[in-house]
Amino acid sequence: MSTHAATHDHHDHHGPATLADGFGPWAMRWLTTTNHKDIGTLYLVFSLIMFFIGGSFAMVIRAELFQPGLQFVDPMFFNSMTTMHALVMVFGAVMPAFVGLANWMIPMQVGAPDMALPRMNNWSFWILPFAFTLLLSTLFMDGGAPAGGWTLYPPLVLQTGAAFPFAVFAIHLMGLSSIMGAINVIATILNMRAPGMTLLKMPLFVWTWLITAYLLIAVMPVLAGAVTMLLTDKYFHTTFFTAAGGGDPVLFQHIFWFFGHPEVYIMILPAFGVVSEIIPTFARKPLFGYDSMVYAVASIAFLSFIVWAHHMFTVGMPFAGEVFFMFATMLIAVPTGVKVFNWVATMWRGAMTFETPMLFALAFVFLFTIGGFSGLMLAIAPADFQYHDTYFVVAHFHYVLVTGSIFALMAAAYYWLPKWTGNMYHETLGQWHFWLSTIFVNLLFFPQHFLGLAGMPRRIPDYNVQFADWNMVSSLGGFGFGLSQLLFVYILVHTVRGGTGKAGPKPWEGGTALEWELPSPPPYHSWTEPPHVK
Amino acid sequence: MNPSNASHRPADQQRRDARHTALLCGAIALAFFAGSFVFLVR
Repeated sequence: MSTHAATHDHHDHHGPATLADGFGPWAMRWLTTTNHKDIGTLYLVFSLIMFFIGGSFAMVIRAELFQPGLQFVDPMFFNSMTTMHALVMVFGAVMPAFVGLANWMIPMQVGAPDMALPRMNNWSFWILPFAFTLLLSTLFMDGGAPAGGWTLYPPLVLQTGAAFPFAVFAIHLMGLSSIMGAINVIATILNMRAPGMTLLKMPLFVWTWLITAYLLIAVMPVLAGAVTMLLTDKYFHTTFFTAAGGGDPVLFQHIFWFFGHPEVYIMILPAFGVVSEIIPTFARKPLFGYDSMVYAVASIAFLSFIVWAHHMFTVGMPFAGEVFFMFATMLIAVPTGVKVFNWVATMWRGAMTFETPMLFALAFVFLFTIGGFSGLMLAIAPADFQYHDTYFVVAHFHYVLVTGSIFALMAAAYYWLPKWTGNMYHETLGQWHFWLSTIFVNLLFFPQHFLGLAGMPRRIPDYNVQFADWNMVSSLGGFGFGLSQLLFVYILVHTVRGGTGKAGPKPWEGGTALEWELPSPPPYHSWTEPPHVK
Repeated sequence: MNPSNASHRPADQQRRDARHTALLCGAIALAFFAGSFVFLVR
């Protein structure tokens, strides 16, 4: 794509401080950095820490559900665990991980020297540790952490104790961080592209992030509005959602899901982008139907705004509303089907190899599609009356978010680690990580379909003995999946410390995007002279 | 904003354009924040 590589070592005389320069300069470098690669690294490390904190909450849940009866924790704490697991994973692990990828890759892929607004970029990141310190500190407060579910439905959530304003403020901060991050992405993509990099020449990862960023600036403020109203209902005697004062608790659900459904796509569209980068690379063919991929992402983003009430079919909507939201939801299968078809068509008669990033990407296509199909089942309003609030829903969205978003993040990490570090990761260990994760994640979540169809409700610490067997299987899968991720950490550390050797500028021969024109690791300031894109 | 070859513009122009884009996005975000309250008018 590009005609020349940029190796601007002569610009590196004011390079980043390392620990060898002393702790002070090193700490100041990370606190005050405006470099997109540094900030990308900060986001990725932060999200990995949150992944393990959120994961440890999941382990508590699965330990409690290993057998019927109450074993380890009291029901209130169990509810806090489900709530905090979701909040930490959604806002602390998945979203910041994709923002980290965006920070690292977007400037390199569009041929820009950095993000458009580097100081705001620093601020966007450094808000997050404070937000999550606040959120996690609620575990130690009177009345415990929020326990009403991540959906924060009133009136239940208004029973939260001292933790409530802290959780609300934490959500405000996370939203602020996301909005500023999204603004930076949009400003970078629209203003910083290299000459010749027209919109329809941008890599799919950049396209998916552009559209995701628009979703973020549209819906994060709506979440902020919703939790602000909860706050005033609890402390300032408003009755937005209190029936006794003329308010309506169902209204909260409408506002929450107007945010909540696009939020799902915020977590999956960049994953689509990652997979659309990896599959052509390892199939050694250009992406099939590039334009249709872009239009499909845009269509999914548009549709995500008009399907929110499929999360609340059982609240008692008018029939016309149920029908509208049912069919609008089913419509999303069309652009999603276009994408899956295009990924498969890209692989068709390709010269495929199956390194770890490709394995994770292939598993993504297969397992995310399972999550998509169970989503279609849930979209059917009369059927949803049976599935609603059961483990079937839990199975569905974990297929979408774990084997979807998380697997895409794993794929991205293995794909770009050689670029980021200059070192090759241990391929055999990577494949072990893949197979262990894939086997255990299916052991963890597939039985939850059966549990849900048999009627096991979600968010309960105890259950009828008829659900015992599959819960035990699911918990074993959960422990296995959790432990497998320790191998990922080992592989990361091993790679950063030298891995199995130098990676070279283009470790994947099929890579075509601009980042592969730069050395590995790329210089601290890459593309100080914009490349010319043909 | 020139969508095809943004980097051809002088650096200060590029910075100004980036700032304008950011302000526009901020305005969209504020509008949606306000919109979540307008939802309440019945």
